Amino acid sequence: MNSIKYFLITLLFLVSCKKETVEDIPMANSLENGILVLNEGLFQHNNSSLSWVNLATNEAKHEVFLNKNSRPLGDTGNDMIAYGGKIYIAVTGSSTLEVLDRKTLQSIKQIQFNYNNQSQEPRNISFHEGNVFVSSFDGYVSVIDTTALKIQQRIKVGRNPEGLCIQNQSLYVANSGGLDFQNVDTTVFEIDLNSMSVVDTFVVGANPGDMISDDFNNVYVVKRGNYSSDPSELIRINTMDQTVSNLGIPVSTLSKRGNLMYLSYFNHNTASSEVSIFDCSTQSLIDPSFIDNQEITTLYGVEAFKENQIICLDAMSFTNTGYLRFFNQFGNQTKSIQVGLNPNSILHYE
Amino acid sequence: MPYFLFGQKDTTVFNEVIIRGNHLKIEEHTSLNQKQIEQLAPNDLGSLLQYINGITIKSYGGIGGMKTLSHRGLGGEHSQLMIDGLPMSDPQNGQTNLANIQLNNVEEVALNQQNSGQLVPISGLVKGSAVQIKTFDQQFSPHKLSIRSSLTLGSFGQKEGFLGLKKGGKRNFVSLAGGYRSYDGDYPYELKFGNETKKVHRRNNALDEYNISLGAGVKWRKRKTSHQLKFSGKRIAIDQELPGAVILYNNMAQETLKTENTNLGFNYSLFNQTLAVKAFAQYAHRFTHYNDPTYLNSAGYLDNQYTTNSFSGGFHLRYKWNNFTFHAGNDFTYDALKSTRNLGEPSRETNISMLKTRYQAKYFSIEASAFNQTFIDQNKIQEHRKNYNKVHPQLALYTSDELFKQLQFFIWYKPSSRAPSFNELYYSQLGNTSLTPEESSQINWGTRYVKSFKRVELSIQGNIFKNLVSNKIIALPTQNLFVWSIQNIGKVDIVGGDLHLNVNIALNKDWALQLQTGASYQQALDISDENGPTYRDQIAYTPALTGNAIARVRYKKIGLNFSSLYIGERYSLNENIPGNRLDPYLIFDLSANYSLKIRSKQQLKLQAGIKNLGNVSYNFIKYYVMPERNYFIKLSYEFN
Repeated sequence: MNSIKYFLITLLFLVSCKKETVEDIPMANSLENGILVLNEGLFQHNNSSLSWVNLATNEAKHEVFLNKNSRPLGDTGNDMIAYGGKIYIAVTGSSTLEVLDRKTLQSIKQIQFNYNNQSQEPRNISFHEGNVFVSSFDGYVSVIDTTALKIQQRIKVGRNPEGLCIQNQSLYVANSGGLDFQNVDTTVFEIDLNSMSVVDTFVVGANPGDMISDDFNNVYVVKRGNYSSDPSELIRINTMDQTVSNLGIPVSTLSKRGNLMYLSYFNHNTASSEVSIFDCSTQSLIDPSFIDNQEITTLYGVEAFKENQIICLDAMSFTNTGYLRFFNQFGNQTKSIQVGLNPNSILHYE
Repeated sequence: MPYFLFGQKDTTVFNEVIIRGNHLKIEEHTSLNQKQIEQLAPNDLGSLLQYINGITIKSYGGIGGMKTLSHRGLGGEHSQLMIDGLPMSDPQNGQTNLANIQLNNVEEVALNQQNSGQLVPISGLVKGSAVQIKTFDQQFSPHKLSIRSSLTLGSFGQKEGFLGLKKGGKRNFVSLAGGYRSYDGDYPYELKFGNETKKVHRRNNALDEYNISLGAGVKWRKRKTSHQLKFSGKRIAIDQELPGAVILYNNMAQETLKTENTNLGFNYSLFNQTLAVKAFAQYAHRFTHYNDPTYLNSAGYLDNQYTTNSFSGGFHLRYKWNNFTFHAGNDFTYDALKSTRNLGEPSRETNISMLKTRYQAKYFSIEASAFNQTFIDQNKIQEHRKNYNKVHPQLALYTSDELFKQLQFFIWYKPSSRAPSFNELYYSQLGNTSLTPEESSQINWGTRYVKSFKRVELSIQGNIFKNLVSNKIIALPTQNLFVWSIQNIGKVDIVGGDLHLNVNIALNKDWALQLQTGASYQQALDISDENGPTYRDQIAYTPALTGNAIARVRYKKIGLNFSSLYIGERYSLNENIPGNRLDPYLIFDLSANYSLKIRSKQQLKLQAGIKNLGNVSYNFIKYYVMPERNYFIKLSYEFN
């Protein structure tokens, strides 16, 4: 029996390995002069997270949601917005909408997106006059009252809706149909916000995704195409004369500062990342290649920052920890801060 | 291709048995015999192979959860499974799901890393390693009637029954075996969030399975040549729910999978003083039906069916002349896939041929061989891959027991290619028809020491290996997280070693002790891109350290069995950061059995055991949780 005893001792010795302690720097209670980052994580890894970037020190604090709420955010956080005193996060895989206090980042409510025992998979969020609108892959836009924090209404739209934006008194919804691989959707629906019903349909091209509106009655949509022969391009819907135009500009995601629209584009065939600037007032592309992007591996989005800077979200081939890459008004990179896996949305705290 | 023909006489008679572990000049293999398999009471082949050194099993759940193999840092596609001398493969996935292979009728499981003498199919020799299984159904038996039967009941609704009958004789046998099992799979598990723990139950995890096999064999002798012909027919049908990964806040999976596999095979062998030949022919039919009734496409569900038909055949001959042994062989396989998905109708012809020479000197033996691997792909509807052909040399050097008694040293080199699977080539949106085969190479230095004392048998084996994988086939997201592509971009550098110890002690008539333990270390580093963030990080799901131990104490009719398994830390992605790290785990199983001999021919055995004694919440793959402490009781009856 001795040999068993010694073997066990050896084995125990082998496994009594070091416990890794994750460094826990306490975060200031008042969030200011920083950036809150939503990291999407990887599908089925339950590793969506929030990072806090302190702009005074240029340091990032990870797993902020977990630390503030003693539970993880969940699987595939796809979109994050701030509205009023709250932050809303659409968590697709977990099929939840997390509502956080903007100041404390504590969860006020986790709204389950389940209907008839089936996950709805919320995707994108928009807001207007006390309501938050959430598109979900089951083909609905849910209307959530921001005080009751309850789903008030479900509006049936097209297949697998994603991007949302408000223009005048209408909500525009991009129906991607992305889960029908060979037969994607091509439409944008217009929902009248007074009647909360679909009033018009625009055919924009295959697999529409991100959307944004300007001050000139236009709505812009990214028509993602089929990732090969049909390229990802910028489509404009003129909501006054109801015309649809393909502007022919390669694009993946959209963001805006005043009248300037920032377009990110990642070409996966050449692995090149570009940011272009489009002036909504003159309807012209003022810079087709704004940044010197030597360091960016996988451009996953662009956001305007302060008066004249931009932040590029770098997904680092989607399987490695991502970065925020800061660029000045000349398009030169000024700094890089490592955040979490696949950063897709940011909120700036002054 | 020309093969060697020799007319010389030879004095050596080849004994075609798998040579067991306790004498020298044996194959480089590790094996588990029927006793050890019974003692471990594994749910499937995947759970069992964890106890063979150097093998890591990627386990996606308890009973029914997919299990694939990785040997010394090489993917499961570099390993060949052979059941009773017939090679099994799955051209659609490239890897065999080891959870679908039952062990109730299995008499031996062995892992071969380098094979010098056995007449196994060539496809088992060219690959990185081969797992060989010997079943009750396919062995000749001197007994007129043999019965193997068992009933098992276990936690989470495990019910299992098996009955095997064999009519043996001097020159022939006929066997019939069948089994059924079902499982509810609703086991509890714990999730740790920061400092909190949440207790949850697995759901959508049930399984029903039927399997049946038929065997027959005849042997005859003409002058000085003996012949053997065996037939084997097997069918397995599995109907299961797929729980998937645990998704936080969303426990609504409803996916299901049906699997139906049918195999028909023949094995022929011939032995005489000069020549030994083995040949096989096989037909395999595989059907899988996947359904997700909650998928959010316009149909409202996902329903995919796949049918693969495979024909294979081959031979391996051996001829001995003085101190030389010559081998020649060829394996041919034709695979064709039809599906309801947009994969086209892919087919593949695989041909592997081999020429090998072994020279036996006084103090050493040397072996050199050349393998030729050819893959010819077709796809009636889609564009298909170009033909591929490559010659691989293999070399091995062994010392003989003339040089050191009880001690042997050996070194071998083994390169190999594995073709991309049909999924990797044609899967809609992500398949890539320009993929080339993934290349691996292994260099192994090993030593073995075997010693028998009066009451003690001891064997120690140690290996150091250096492997390389290039053109590694990797699936990565490209445009966004929903659009993946598969590319030949990986390169992995593997260095490791393992140590294996086996002790048998027969204290006296009443007491006996058996101990087997092993530990394995492998550093498998991603060297794909010098400037990438994961350069020289340990590749995903490859624990650097693994260890196992099996101990058995027998007192008269009572046996006490203990086993443990240690899986070191690993990462869910190639980036070695805390967020991707998975905790190591140590699992203990304990069981006791009581055997009763009824007259001389019958044996009744009762075994009861506890698995995961320490009630550890663990997962090998992130969020594919494994069962906590669970129990089983097994009653078996044998007649010979």
